[in-house]
Amino acid sequence: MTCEHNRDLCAWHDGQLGGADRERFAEHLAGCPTCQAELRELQRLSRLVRSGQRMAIPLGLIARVHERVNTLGERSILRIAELLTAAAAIILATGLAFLAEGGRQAPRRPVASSPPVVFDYGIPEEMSVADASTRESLELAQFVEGRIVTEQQP
Amino acid sequence: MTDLELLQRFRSGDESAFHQLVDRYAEYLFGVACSLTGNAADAEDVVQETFAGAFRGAGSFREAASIKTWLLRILMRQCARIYRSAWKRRVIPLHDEQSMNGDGTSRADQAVSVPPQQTQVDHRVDVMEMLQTLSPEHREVIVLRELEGLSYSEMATALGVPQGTVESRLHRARSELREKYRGYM
Repeated sequence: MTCEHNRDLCAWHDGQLGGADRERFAEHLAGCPTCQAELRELQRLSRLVRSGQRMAIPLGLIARVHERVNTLGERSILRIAELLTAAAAIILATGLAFLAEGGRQAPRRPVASSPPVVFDYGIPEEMSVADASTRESLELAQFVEGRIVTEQQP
Repeated sequence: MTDLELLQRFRSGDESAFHQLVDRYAEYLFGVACSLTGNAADAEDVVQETFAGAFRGAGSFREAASIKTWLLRILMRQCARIYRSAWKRRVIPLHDEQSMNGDGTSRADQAVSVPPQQTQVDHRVDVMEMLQTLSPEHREVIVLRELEGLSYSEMATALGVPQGTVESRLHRARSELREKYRGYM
């Protein structure tokens, strides 16, 4: 095969030439005995390869693939459960370690020993944790009002 | 429902959608795998691992390609694994008893001249055996193009190579086959 259009010939044979390339090659092919002979060889080769015996799918293969997929699905659920359990264990261990560390560093204040300190707005210092956000809001309001009073003074 | 819709449903948690993809493509993939590996046992292994790979990797599917070429891409990688292990084992498949000459050499490795009275059945068996004598790269392009009718673009996607590489491999593969098939043509 010596024709320079060899690559186009294969693409032509495989139906992969389109548009202007296809038309251009069709014109060339009509006048090129080398390409015509080569095309016949390619066609014979394709027919021969396609005449090869195809093996039938074994009985039960599709069912076995379905079983495999089911197993993969079960494994992925178990894997997710394992990861969540491990994450929960890490969080718990970290929390316990943090609490233990906090207990060693800061001594507990006795609840009844020190008198409560009252702010101008009567906000007792000793408030529960749940009231902490409320305390912050009140302190902010106190601060704002203080500024306003300051600005209004001549 | 289209293949893409099935995959999207699977991604959303519906495993039955993936089973429908198995029903659609298992036989097709088995045919490709058989042509590439040359035996049913390896082909089934490839098909199993292809769907396992697709199951695990469904999240990474890029919708630019078709589901078919995506599955073929996974199948090609699984076939490559089989080639590597076969190279290590270097076992001649049992059915090749018919293709062995009396002195122990393989008939399929030679460019044979077939007498006119050769039966049609023998032609078909020898064709498949001779495909196995091609290098994996050449066998892949011949199978995908001649047996499965993929376009050059689809072949490039399935093989993970540029289209130009597909064309040049196909040209070389056909030249090699023509040498081996001279007696059959």
